Amino acid sequence: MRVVLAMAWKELLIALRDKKTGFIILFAPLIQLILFGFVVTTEIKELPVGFIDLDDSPLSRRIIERLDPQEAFDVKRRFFSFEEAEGAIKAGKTRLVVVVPSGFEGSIGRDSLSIQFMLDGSDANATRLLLSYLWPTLGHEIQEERKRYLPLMAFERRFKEATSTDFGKLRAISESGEGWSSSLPKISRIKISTRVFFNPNLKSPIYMVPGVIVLIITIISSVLTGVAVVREREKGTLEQILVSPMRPWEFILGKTVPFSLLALFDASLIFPLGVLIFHIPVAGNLFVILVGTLLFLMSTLGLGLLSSTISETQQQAMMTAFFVLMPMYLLSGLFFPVKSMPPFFQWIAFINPLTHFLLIVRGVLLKGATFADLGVSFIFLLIFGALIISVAILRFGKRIK
Amino acid sequence: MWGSLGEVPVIEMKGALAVSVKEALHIVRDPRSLYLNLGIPVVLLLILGYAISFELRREPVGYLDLDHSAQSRKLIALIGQEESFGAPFPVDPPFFPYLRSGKARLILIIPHNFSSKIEKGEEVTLQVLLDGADNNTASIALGTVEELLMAQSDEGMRENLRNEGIPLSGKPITPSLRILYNPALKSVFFIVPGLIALIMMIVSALMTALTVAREWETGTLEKLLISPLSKGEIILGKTLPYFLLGFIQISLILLAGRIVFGVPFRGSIPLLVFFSALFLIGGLGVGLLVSVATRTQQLAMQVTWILTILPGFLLSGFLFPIESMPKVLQAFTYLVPARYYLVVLRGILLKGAGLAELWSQAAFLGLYAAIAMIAAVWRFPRRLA
Repeated sequence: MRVVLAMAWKELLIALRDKKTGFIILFAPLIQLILFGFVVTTEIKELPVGFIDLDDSPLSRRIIERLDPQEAFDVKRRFFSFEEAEGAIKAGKTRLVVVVPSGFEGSIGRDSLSIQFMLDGSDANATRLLLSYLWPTLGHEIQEERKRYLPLMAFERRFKEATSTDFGKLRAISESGEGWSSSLPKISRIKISTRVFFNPNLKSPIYMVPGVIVLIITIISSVLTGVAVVREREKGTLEQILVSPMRPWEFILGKTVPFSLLALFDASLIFPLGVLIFHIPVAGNLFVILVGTLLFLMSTLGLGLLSSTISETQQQAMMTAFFVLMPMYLLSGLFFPVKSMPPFFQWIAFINPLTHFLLIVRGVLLKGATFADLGVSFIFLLIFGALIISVAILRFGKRIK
Repeated sequence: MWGSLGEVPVIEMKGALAVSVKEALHIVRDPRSLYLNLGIPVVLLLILGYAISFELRREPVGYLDLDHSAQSRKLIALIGQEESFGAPFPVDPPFFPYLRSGKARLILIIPHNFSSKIEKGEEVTLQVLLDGADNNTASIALGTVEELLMAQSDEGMRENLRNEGIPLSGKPITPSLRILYNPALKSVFFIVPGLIALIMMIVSALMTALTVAREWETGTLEKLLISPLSKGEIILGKTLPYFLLGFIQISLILLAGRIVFGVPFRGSIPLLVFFSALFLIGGLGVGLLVSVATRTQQLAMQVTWILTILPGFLLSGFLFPIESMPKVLQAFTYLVPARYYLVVLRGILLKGAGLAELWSQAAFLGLYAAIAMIAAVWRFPRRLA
């Protein structure tokens, strides 16, 4: 054990000895927290929007006015021709243009009512989100306008019918004493009241920042471990260690423990900041996360060691780690929801330890999930971690001989 | 400082080429690094193109039907028909555990007077319980339910009008969409430009920084410096292979994007080559600067990650629109060259834009390439001090 400690201490000294490295280890997580917290947002805000009002009626102006209270954009520009609008879209000055056709007001009671959107498809994701923001409110507003018109039109039609066919009916309506309003047809309405749990204001950072913690733990524990081992090989010091009485498992522990500690240190630095700056909730028991982290570290340290056994140089080790981690990030639910992936990729996501660790961290922090809720993820991390670390140790032993 | 710059033009192509060939061999010799450089861009493209989507698929929905009417059953059946939702299943209170364990994303509670109120033409309120943890998925799910209920509400309105003997249809309106440049709104169309920018950043800045830092570490750079090679020859020789590798990767991504996903190329190829060259030269300059400043691979990697790749990914407008960022970060994006390169790529590939639309991006990229390269040449040691 003394050997392990000595080696771990040496490894920590190497990592922190250099002022630049220490700076990076402290500030890289901070920068990532700020960037991910503020930038990685699925809330679309302040995109430039325009409109063409060919109807120029009270109704069309009311509809256009409804574009205002939305948070989704800040610029609202009026265009007077399609060419002008298209030019603005091509230059990237406008993302979406609402077109109210002429005769819009006159056709409010008819089925032929139509409204057009011109969209910049080159950033499909933002465009889709913007549309999904604007259309429900706008469509709802138009339907509401219709509901105000329709009964009146219905009454008008009935009145006309009555006049032409049966004067008695007309008299009945006017003599019933109920007046206009009560003889309008009644129209039902379905409303919904929503109660949102876990992230009541539907804020992106609440969901993303726990992901940053996962990201940082992953990078430090896997990449730095792999690189530290390869550095000894590159410099030839690995051979010196091998001829020393140190056993392989002592070497492995000595290499992995310091980076686990660094990862935990960075995580515990970032986490309170996330709570402070982005108001990340802590709904559950942090002990559950700690257990999850230790299990997850088995996977990442194992991956780091594995990448070191197939790399001769630090450059190779880093590139390998980088290109293994990239797909892992993309297929973990960190940015993109796993449930939206095709089944094949959902399977890959399922055997990705990051997916499960994310479920644990987000589940505990946001939802207060317990061991029972997260059973599958814990079992998976245990099995995967044990497997990969055994393979890494086996391969490592072979390399050494 | 200009004195040392003045020596740069003394470049003998033979010397630079020799360094390049050695560096290229270093890349090609090792099949894995070749795979990493050529295979990974394509693998990332396939993953991003096939797997990434924000459309909901079979989100679990629970319901509590207190009405037990034909109307309420119809509503539940309608939800089941949506692609976004799985088959709705009945739940009983307490509802919270369903949401916490993820067994249900959304729970719909239909009150007991649902159908009677609709028939009477009154207002009725449904309750929705929503797991908001993943805010994006939650808002899309809620939007889908709202739209469904809006349609149902209109259905009710028609029913009311019919009962009054008024055959007005009042069909719900749908907007007609005219989507420019990417009518199917395929996400891969905006992923290809972003991926090119990202990979270019990696190959130019990260790879150069690592390979030169490695020579610092192993001491082979000192040997190069005392050789008769000039500074310009060393720099040119070291960067040329990565410059070419960058173009091979662009071609690969564009070809794969075209063949597999039908990503268009509407603008001019020479223009794309010109802009990409500027972007690569800038990246190579940054890579050299980082390697000079750090001199170790581990540090070089972390610095490049923070300085170039992370901003290139997050602050370029690749996945997250710049207009939606806080103002301070928006100001920072002007310092991120990938921002300009991305406008160029999207413009040339998707919009068929030419120099008339892109000249300001060209100016920024040119400035960046010039500053980065000049600074790199200036800081690169002439001889061993």
